[in-house]
Amino acid sequence: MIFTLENLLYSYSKNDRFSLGPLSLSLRSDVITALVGSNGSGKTTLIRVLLNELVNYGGVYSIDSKPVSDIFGTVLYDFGIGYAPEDPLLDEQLSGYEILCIVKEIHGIKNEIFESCIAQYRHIFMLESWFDTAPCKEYSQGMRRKISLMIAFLSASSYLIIDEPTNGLDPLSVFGIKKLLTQYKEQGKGVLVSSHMLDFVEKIADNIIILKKGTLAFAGTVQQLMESWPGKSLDEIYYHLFTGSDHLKEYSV
Amino acid sequence: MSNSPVQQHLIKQLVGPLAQKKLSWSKGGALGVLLFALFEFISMINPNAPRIPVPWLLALTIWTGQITIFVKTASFLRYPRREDFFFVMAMSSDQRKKLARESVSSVHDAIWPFIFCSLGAGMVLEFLVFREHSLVNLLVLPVLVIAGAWIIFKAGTAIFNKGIIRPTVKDERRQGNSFLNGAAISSFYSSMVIKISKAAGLLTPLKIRPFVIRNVMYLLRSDPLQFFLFTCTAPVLLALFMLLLIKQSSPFMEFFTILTVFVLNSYYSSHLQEATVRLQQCPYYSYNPRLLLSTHLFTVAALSLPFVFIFLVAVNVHLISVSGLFRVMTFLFALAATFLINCRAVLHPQRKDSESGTDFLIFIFVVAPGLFIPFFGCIFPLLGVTAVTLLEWETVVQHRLATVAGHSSD
Repeated sequence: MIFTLENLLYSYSKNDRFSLGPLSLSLRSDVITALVGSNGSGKTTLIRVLLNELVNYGGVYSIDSKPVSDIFGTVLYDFGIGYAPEDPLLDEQLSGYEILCIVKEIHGIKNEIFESCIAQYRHIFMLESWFDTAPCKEYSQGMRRKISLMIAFLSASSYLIIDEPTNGLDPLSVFGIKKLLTQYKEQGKGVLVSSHMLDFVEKIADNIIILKKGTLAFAGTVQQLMESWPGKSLDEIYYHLFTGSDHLKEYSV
Repeated sequence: MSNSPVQQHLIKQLVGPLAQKKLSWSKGGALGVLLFALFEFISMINPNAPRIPVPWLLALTIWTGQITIFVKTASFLRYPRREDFFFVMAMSSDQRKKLARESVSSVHDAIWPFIFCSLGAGMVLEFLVFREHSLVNLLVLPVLVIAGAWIIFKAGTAIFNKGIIRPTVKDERRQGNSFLNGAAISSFYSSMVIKISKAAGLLTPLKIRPFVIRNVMYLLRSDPLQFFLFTCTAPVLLALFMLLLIKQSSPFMEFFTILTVFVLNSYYSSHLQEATVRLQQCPYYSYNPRLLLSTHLFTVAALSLPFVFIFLVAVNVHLISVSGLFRVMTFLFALAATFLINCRAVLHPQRKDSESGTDFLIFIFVVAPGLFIPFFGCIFPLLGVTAVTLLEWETVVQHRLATVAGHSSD
């Protein structure tokens, strides 16, 4: 699966100070791509365009060469995309396990696959009795994040989009996410991760997209970015990119 | 049990003088003698008078009293604002729980001598007056009464200890939900939620099954007691009501069935509305109004099955005729119209009161009259179905709601 954006342009209203684009890039479904940028740079807006939640954009957005504007239905379901938003929205009255049971029914996941996934999640996220018994309204921020990520992993049959996955998570769970993402990539599926945690990005991502005030500051592999600034860490490169006047070469992803 | 003066004062305020003023041995004995004289000795003089054993009368009095004290004590745990005493409102859930335990224990400390003495007086009189020399015959009933009182006492304190009385919303916010906080109880309940909701989804088409399961889960989680009232108690009460009070040939059979379904579904609508709002918001669900309409139709149909079953069993004698078949057809159309009306409340959580009024008017003036008209009565519920379909036309034809884009740039 390839997501292609050509001269994509989006603004929330005519007089809006913020606008996204013009952006031209493509996302492959066999690599982990990190989406990085300062607050207000347009990461979540880009994700919402990719999910077809925001539709009044300029330019062309297509999935597998098929314009999304011609697709009747939801991008998430039609293309098997799992999505974990920045603010986890959950069924407040239900427990995490009950929500996952519903997701399993929606996606027609077989019982044995579902149970093995749940066993893995229990281990990775150190889920305790709250996962089965307590309603989501009683969960902490980290617990909610875990449930949101599990929903995304369970429902992603071809691509995964996760927005700020490490927010509110304990270090062991962050380690677990890295493991899950690597496994996911090994299965030939792609991931788009939006994050402010550059060390996390450096360890898991193959490609990186850096947005600056709605425009593309860099798009290429992490290796290419590091090679453009020899001897510097990703933190330092990011700092120079946003504060200095150095120009980076652009690569197609 | 030793209570501090403050606790004793609080208990006195809450359960009255019962826990403070120990009912004396003499009062217990006097009651035993009085009951014996009134309900046993009279039967010796007048053979036509019924003989009611003293232990039965005492059992009725003691157990009822215990349950009344338990309910009163439990009420200030769940609804402290309804109490007349400010100190109850100011107390935390744990403090109220402790006070409840102490109150129940104090009351029982005070009434045990009374129970033993009254039963003892009854036994002695039985032995002396009726010449009952069998120790087993003398002891069986009093032992049963004491065992019953002990079980009620222990069950009451266990309910307070385990936190089964649901705390107030304020307490839930402050310290988390302690309702069903025993690990074994909550895990059992969670497994029941999944099993019951999956069972409810069994008869539904695959496409909407996950959402029917979700609706039932929501109802079970939001208000389990209401759910069990709807699915178990209400059908039984309706069956008794129908069979005892209404003739099987009366159209009131249908009317009361439909009315019960309508009213109980209305009670559910607030929980299902919450489920609908979440369905629209959560990105992992595919929101589609038409799908939602079918989901709610199947949910209310699944929950109404016991009522349909009761109706068909209750009037089965009359079904084997042309008029009987028309009657069933009218009933089923009316049921369908009622389901559709109930769905409207759930589909539009933010609707105005006037729309709820419209639904009620459709039910009363369009759907219900058909039940009382033989043969052609089915036209009325059909009109109801048509009216609701026209009102919900957008939902019926619409495939997908336009996404509302919030303003977020990051």
